[in-house]
Amino acid sequence: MDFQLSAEQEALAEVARDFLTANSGVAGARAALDGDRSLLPDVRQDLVKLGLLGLLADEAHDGGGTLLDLAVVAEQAGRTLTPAPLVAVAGRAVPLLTAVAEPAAEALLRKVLDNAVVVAVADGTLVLAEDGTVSGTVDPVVGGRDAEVLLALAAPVGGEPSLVALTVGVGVATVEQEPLDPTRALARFTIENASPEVLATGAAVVAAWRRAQDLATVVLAAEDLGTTAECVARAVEYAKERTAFGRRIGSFQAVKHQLVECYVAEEQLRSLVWLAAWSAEAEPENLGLYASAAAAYAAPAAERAAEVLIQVHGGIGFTWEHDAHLFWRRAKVDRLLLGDEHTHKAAVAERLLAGAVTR
Amino acid sequence: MDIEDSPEEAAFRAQVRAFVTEHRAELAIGRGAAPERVEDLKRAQALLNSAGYVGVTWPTEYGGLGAGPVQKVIVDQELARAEVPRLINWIGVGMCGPTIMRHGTEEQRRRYLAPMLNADEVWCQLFSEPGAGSDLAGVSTRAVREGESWRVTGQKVWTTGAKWCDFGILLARTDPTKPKHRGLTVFVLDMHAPGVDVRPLREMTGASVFNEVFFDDVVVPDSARVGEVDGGWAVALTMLMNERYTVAGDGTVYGAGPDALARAMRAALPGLAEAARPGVLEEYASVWIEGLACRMSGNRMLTALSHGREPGPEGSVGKLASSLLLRKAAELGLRLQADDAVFGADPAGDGAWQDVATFAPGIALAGGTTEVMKNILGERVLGLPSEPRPDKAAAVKGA
Repeated sequence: MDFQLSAEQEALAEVARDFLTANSGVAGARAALDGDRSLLPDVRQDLVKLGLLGLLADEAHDGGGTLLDLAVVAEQAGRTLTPAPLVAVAGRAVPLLTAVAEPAAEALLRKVLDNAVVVAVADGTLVLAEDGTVSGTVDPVVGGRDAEVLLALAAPVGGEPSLVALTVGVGVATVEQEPLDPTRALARFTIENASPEVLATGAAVVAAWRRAQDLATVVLAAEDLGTTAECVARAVEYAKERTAFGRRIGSFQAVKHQLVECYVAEEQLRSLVWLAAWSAEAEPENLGLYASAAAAYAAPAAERAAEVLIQVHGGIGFTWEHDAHLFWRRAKVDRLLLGDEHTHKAAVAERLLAGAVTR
Repeated sequence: MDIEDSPEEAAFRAQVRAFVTEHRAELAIGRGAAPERVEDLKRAQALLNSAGYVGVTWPTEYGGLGAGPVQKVIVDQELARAEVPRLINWIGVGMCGPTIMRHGTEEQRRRYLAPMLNADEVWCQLFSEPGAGSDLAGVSTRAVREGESWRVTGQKVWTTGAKWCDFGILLARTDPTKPKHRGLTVFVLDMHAPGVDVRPLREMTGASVFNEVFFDDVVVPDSARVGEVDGGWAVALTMLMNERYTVAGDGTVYGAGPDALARAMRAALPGLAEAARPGVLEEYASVWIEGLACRMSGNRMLTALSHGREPGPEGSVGKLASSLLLRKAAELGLRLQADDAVFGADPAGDGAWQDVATFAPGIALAGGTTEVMKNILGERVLGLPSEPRPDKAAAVKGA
């Protein structure tokens, strides 16, 4: 039994904290809401340099890191709302392309890791027509707004799915929609007779897809952990300073107890995120279960913490100029990504009743 | 990071499991303490102690096994797995023993610890009073010095197990001219001493585990004092922190853990109306996830403890989370009983979830109420300013 971060992971967290604090997305998020996306920090190149984008690639591609390493970084990204492509790329596209292990996928992986190409992953399965084209609409894609290539599943009617790559702009159009949280760079797409490049086909594709989805779910929960922790920290700081009725407001139990409830949720969430991240290598048969558990817990925890952050600040917390709503926006958006709380809980119940042997 | 047993831990677990399996008939004798079950429960604890599985972390010189907190948890897990009930002397072993080890004299350790482990002598906690519960430092039971002994007068209440206990750890006021936290002293009190009167209470569960304890001029030798005169608050805090650890968990010790819930779900699902299923499944997942979080947060604390850290205020996280969890688990268990939940038991006489549900409110009170836990976490962990406490610096009574 040794359920704690290693000294190396603590050090990694510190590196990530420094780097992501210097590239915080908080100010950029507000500017982007006002229509200027240029202030959102683009940390892709730095992530490549630090070796963080390809942590989940194999050793041959300078990866070989663990999901827990990535989760440690993601927690810090969640604290700063930095639009680092951890959920979409480091946590999903990279392990997906690595796992299918086909030459075409490997070629794309190299471009992604060199930051030559920005990818995102679309949920759902497209219908592959007999002429090899795909058409349809794609649900909101994390990081889709910046993506040059979309990874998706495409299957002929009644056939097995392939992993395909679609080039944005070639039969694939981005649907412009006002963002609730610009740091997630969400976008919808409409696809008309696009000719995808087939990267891999067969049973391995589905397994790789599912696993990558679970990995990304854990990374998302880890970012939400950071968001929760930051909301708690900011609300506590304010409650220590602000005075009303001759007392600092943090001394009132009505305020204090709300903060404690959010703090307890933060600590419980941290335990769930660590377990899920640890299981990716140590107990892969339960990764999906633990990922869903962490995600189901993360959504309401972050949402509540962001709401309490606003509530504790009073009127100032409700202003556009105050940062509180930027955290609130992230929480409100994240709860719907990669499956909402209800979807994840249904998945947990199903796995448990199917006889999963768990911790 | 690794949650798996190390090879040594796995070997220890196998050894514990073999022992528990061999003696299951004598150990797994049903939950809940009651006067007529006390002797059986004492025998069960003595049997466990013969293998060293009661004082797992205690030094060998006091009858313990001298192992670490991880081994203690392994024993707890194996006992829970075999549905062995809580030790009859869980308050002694979990709270009084560690307090005597930390604050007591060598003579006290030699006298009390080994019989405590073997359940030859069972212990209780004499803390709460009718006028002092959450505000524990406000106790008014008096201990007055007379040469080499003390005379104790007053009343305690909510004393778990007092009826079958031999000793209690008593928090008493020794100097009312000092502010309330600074005039308290802790003693070992002989429950069979003249002047001690135990009157059972009945809880909302229907069981009778609580008691009132009255002291009418009870003589306590100074050699039974634990810690400094008027230094009792520090001793009491050790008790309280250990108490929070004994109260935390994922509901398994109360029969409301993940295995019990899975069994109840499997039994109830086929008869559940289609419209009710998604809601029930979601609630089941919620409760299981909370339990998982409690277990994993427990593992984090355990890791910290096994690296030599003392129990700290963060123990309140576990206590707080697990009391909420127990309530949710009980609620789900009742929901699975459908219409039978309006009765005390189903037609076959099974009222296990009703029992958990009636027990759960007590867990939100025991070892510090939910509200007190939130104050502790808010002030000692988050560093928020405390409530104004106008009586904190004042003498309890003018000199």
